[in-house]
Amino acid sequence: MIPVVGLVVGVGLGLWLQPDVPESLRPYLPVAIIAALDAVVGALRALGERRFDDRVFVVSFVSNVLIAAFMVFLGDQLGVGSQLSTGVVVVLGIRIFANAAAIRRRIFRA
Amino acid sequence: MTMVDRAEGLLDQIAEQSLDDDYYLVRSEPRTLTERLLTGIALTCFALMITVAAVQTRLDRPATEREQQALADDVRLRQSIHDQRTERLADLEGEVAKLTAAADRIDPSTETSAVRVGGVGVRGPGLVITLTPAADDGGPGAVSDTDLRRITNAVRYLGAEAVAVNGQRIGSLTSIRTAGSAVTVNYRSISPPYVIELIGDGPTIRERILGSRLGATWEDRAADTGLGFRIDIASDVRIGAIDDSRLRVTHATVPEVKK
Repeated sequence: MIPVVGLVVGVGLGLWLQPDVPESLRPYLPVAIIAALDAVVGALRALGERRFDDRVFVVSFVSNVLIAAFMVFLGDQLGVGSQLSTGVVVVLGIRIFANAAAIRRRIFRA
Repeated sequence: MTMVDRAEGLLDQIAEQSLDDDYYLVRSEPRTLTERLLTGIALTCFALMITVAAVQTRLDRPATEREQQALADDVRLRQSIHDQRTERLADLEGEVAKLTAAADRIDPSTETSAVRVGGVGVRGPGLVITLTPAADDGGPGAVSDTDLRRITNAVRYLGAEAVAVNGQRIGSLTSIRTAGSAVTVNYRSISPPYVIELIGDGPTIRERILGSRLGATWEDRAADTGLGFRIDIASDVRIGAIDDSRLRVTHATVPEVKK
């Protein structure tokens, strides 16, 4: 119940406030979303395998987002922003697909 | 192990460890409300980020469109300015043509001037003076550019309205010079015999030439060296207009530049 309420509140807040993302923060948003998505998909898989743990989820969520943003920042400072972002997206993408595949196997047995 | 194998191994490893290891640690104590609330907050943040990104992208789209629209407007504006200027150019060209025509029509002195400077072709009675050099050594038997200059100036002074040497009209900017072995008129080479055609009162001019010192000199030179000097009265002499490039004086001016 709490997770669903959280999602609804998040969407509602976003639509209601419509905050203007500062230009300097814009490169971080997409990568941060991919990192968060990785944590969420991982959590869904763990939920399916009856291993879900709120503390692990929260820690992995926060650390994923922070590390992804930090890597984009680092890439920007080193002048290889796009390459590092690509690397982050590739690794997180693989994890997302692998977790999604595990969920799919569990649900459809295929 | 090749590089490709190693890279594939790395990707496999990522795929295998896709679920955080910590989920595999079995915890004995039950979930607390705080932890569940934190999960909710994390999910709130997740949904918020996605929504904000989506809204931002939607809001940015009109900005790009506005920019595109502004550029298109700019192009249209400049095209219309260009069209206006082209139109104005056509107007001005028409005006110039009209004014030129009006000047020719209204001012009778324009035509006289045009005849004098050689701007129009003329036809009428006159004289034909033929000079055939007896030698080309530069002596009295030869005909030089100076001789031609003197005789053309003299006939104008004596009443000729239009003069041409071997078909080259003499105008206010005409030069008669020697270039190499040939004489040039209006920068065109001519070769002997030199035929000087002129329009005017033929008999009178002929009389004046023969009565002048110039005529006497030429007759003496003809008798001494055998060069040909003939003056024939012609009832119909046609003299063409001078080449346009020898009719205009052009000056360079510095155009006004708007700052």
